[in-house]
Amino acid sequence: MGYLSKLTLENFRNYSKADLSFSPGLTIFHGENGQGKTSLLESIYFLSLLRSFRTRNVQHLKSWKTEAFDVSCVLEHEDLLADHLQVTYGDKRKLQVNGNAVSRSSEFIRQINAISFTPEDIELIKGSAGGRRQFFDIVLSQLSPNYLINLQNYNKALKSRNVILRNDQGDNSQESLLKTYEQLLIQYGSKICYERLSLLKKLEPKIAQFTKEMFPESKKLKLIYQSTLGKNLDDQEALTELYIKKCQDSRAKDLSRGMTHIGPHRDDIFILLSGKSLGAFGSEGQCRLASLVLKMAAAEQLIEDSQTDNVLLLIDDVLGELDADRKEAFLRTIMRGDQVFIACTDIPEYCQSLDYNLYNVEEGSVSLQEE
Amino acid sequence: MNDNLYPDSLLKLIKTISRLPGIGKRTAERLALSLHSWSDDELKFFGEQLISLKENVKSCSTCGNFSDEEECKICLDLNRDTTIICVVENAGQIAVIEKSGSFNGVYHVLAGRLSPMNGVGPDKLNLASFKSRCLEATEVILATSPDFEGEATASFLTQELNGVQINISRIAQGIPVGADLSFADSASMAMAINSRRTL
Repeated sequence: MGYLSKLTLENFRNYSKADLSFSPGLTIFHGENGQGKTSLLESIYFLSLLRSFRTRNVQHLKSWKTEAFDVSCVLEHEDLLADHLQVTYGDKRKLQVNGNAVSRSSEFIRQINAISFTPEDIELIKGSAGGRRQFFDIVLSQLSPNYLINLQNYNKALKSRNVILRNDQGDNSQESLLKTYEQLLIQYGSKICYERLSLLKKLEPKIAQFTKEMFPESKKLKLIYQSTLGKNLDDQEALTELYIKKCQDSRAKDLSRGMTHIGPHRDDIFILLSGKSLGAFGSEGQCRLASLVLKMAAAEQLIEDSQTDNVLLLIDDVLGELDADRKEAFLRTIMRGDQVFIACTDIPEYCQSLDYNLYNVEEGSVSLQEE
Repeated sequence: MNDNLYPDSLLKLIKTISRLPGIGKRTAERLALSLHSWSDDELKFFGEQLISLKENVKSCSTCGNFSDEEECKICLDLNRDTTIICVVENAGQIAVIEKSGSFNGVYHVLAGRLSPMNGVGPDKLNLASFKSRCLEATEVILATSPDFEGEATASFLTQELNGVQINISRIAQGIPVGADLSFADSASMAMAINSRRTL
């Protein structure tokens, strides 16, 4: 079991400088609203995935009027020496592991496996398909080193094909060029579809179990991968065959609009509660619970399958609306993570019976509360 | 750099030198100061080389390699096997393959690689004579880089040669010779395993 033993921030959000030490198990960041609790979770998430769960623009993570921010941590392992991870972000990004520069982000991420629970997670249910695809893509990238590389290559093939489609003069001169990128598109795209479907299948029993624990009345939460390629995609070879055919069929339409209409970049994951679209018909509360269930299932999957020895769970303010039983069911599940960080304004009752470290957060400064 | 540290003429030289690959501000400064200590004759010789660089070094009309003459030394060499053509992205890569001493065929320089996203289509590559050259050869080796653009370029050339009677091969990819397996990154290792050979 690995865990984060130290976290250092410099010019990150409202922290000009912060040094924190942690032990395995539960850590609680306690404080009023707007003091910087979420930013602490965000910095840990950033070390894990080199992205934020709050913003797409990394520059927003810098403190106001500073040139660069710096986040580093010490990651302890069970029977290995601790790793020192560091990210410096100025004009350019600099990644370091134990003082050695790492050039590719795919080599850096997956050292820390973090999963976040935030109020924005409700967008998984109510938001656009893009958010659901991204959720799957992030979990799959955490589980397999090749997924991210395939996804990056797929996006390059897709952009290239779209440029060729737009440049086409209708004289077939681009035929072999188009074919080249279609081959690549299908090669990487079919892997992405297949991996997403496999993950969905693995998540199914976990989703069923957590739905039972989290939803008050007996409800069935079902996820359906809605692919632009069609149905019955379980066999990878058959999927590739179908992809080739669909790609050809779609060619004329794609040429006329200058974009690619089929493929994993247009797929969606339908979320049904007792047979009805949850995003369209569900109540706010149901959507919130369902988003928690999805994240819990993903966390459970990481705990089961991850190749690294740590799964860190970052909980931001999602407990407020749950009743006592749900709260307890939720906390019981997340305590299965190797290390859990909770940001809250009131310490949950269930946690009182557990050992935890308490940090008081106030205006960008953090102090450990001695027992 | 503090622009007041040096007189303008020296500053111009420093800024020009720092455009070279792998040269930072500090190194550019050192190189410029070192050049300043050269004798007039040495500097004149250096300057002449620069001025006539493009004029003297042409690209071979057959393969696109660097050349002093109309055709490069490799294309003029009667001992080279013209039935095997090795396709490379740029002329600089020929030297790398030549140093290996493992290839006695001829080359074809693409002068780039496909990247439609950046506006590089087949029309920007040296492909005019490619197909006709391949018609007279028995094997073409696609030695483009093993990254996305390189793979796309190799795959495009394969499409282009559809219908041409020729063996098309791709250079092997995987673990560098002399490297310790334990330091291989996962992508290279996967490639090496996938393209393993029976002994």
